[in-house]
Order: sequence, then C-alpha cells, then structure tokens
Amino acid sequence: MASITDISLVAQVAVLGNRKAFDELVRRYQSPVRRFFLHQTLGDEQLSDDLAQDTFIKAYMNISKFKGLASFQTWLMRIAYNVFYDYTRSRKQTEDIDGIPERSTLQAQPSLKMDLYHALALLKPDERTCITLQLVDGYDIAKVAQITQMKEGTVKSHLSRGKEKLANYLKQNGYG
Amino acid sequence: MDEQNEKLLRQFFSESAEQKIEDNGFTEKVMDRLPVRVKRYTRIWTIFCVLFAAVLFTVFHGWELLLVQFEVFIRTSIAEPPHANPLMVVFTLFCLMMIGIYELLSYERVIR
Repeated sequence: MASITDISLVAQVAVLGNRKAFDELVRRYQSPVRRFFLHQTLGDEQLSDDLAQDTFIKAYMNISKFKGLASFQTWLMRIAYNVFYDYTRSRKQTEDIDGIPERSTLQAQPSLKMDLYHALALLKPDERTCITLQLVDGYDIAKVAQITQMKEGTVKSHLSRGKEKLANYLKQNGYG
Repeated sequence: MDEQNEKLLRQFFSESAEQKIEDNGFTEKVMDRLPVRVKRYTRIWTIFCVLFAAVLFTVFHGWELLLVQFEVFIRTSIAEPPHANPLMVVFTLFCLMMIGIYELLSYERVIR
C-alpha cells in the first residue's frame, strides 16, 4: 500500500473518480492537517476536525487542479491555510455584527498542552501559522511562503517577531 | 533571534512535531461527506462504449471473423507482410472493448 505514490492515487481520483484512492490519501494526511488546525484554533478539537473535513472535501472537489508542481501534502496544506483564513475572516465578520466572544478551550487541556496553546495565543494568527508550519510541521521558509502565499520576507518577519514573543514567554515561565 | 532562543523553541515544540493524531473514524466521516462528483458521466460513457463494442462484436460474429482472419494471418504473415484488412478492423474493435472493460474495472478497483 505504501508503495503507491501520492501522484498515482491523485491520478486515480482525478481520472477514474476512485473514492478508495481518496480514502487512502485522507488516511495518509489526516494527522498533519488536523494537527495544523489544532494549533491554529489553540486546541479546539471539534473545530479542528470540522475545518480538516472541509479541507479534504475541497481537495477532493479540486483534485484535477493539482498539477504536481509541489508535493501533494504542500498542496493540501495550502488548502488548509485557505480554509482557516476564510474561517477567521467569516468569524470576524460575525463577531463584528453579533459580538460573539472568541472560543476558548485552553482550560480543557493538560498542563504541557495548555502551556503550548497559551504561548501560541500570544501570537497574531499569521505569526502562529508561520511558526507552527516551521517548528511543528518542519517546512522551510520557501515552503511556508508557498503555503501561505506570503512573500518570503514577510514570512521571515512573522517568524522573527513570533519567535521573540515565544522565547520571552517561555523564559518568564521557567523554560529557559 | 539567537541560537539559544531557537534551540529553546525547537525543544518546546518537539513534542508537537512528533505528535501523530490517530484516525479514530475521521476518514470515514470525510468519505461520508464527499459529494458525488460530476465525473459520473465518464462512467456512463464507458459503459456505453463497452456495450456498443459488444453489440458490434456479436452482430458481426466477431469471434468467427477473428478465428478465420487469425488463421489466415498466421498462415500468410510469413510469406507476405500484413496490411490493412478486415482483421485489423475486428481486432481494433476487440481492443477497444478490452480497454473499456479495463477502465470499468479500474474504476471500482480496491486499492487497499
């Protein structure tokens, strides 16, 4: 099973409409996609899973647009980023109108996770995205720029500011 | 950003970087929510082609033509080079039918 490449699976989905092939792609990449959303939502599991589901459905609907220029995972993460961007924009509009308070799940997390999400909560959304894509998902600056469609210089700025905030927070809380 | 801070952050995020989230039915939920793709017409067209080829093959007694022409082909191919003839037409139809069947089977192929 592992020998079947992503490209082969994508081709089976795009050309033959093979749902089993897409099932395999979801199994392969559900973990990094859900983890990405967990960090962006500061540990809201339900919301993360909803957004991850939306991501895979969008990927399925647009799979014929995948040209193989980047890896399938990078392409998927770009969709995930767009899904989260759309979500935050729509939520901001709703909050502006209705005054709905921001969702918080920080109290429900175990200690270390709580520290992680408290630390990430200090960052602006773009800083958080760049930081987690680099330090958790292991993407280099070029890939982060590709996923977020930001310029590399902008990514570097977000990383620099975010890391400074995080380092200060960690030192103040006995990690340094 | 000095190296010390970088090291501190990498240590802090190391556990998250190694975190694997178990599927726990997530994939099934995604597959249940997948819309039916417009590509259904592809399958209908494939079935139509296969049926059409099968009908032609039956109506024109393709198997008889195949056998006769194959025998002739074998006997004469050594003596003279092959050229376009009814055999080629029947053989092409047969190949098209095989391709259609293959595509139909591939559509449903279980890859797991």
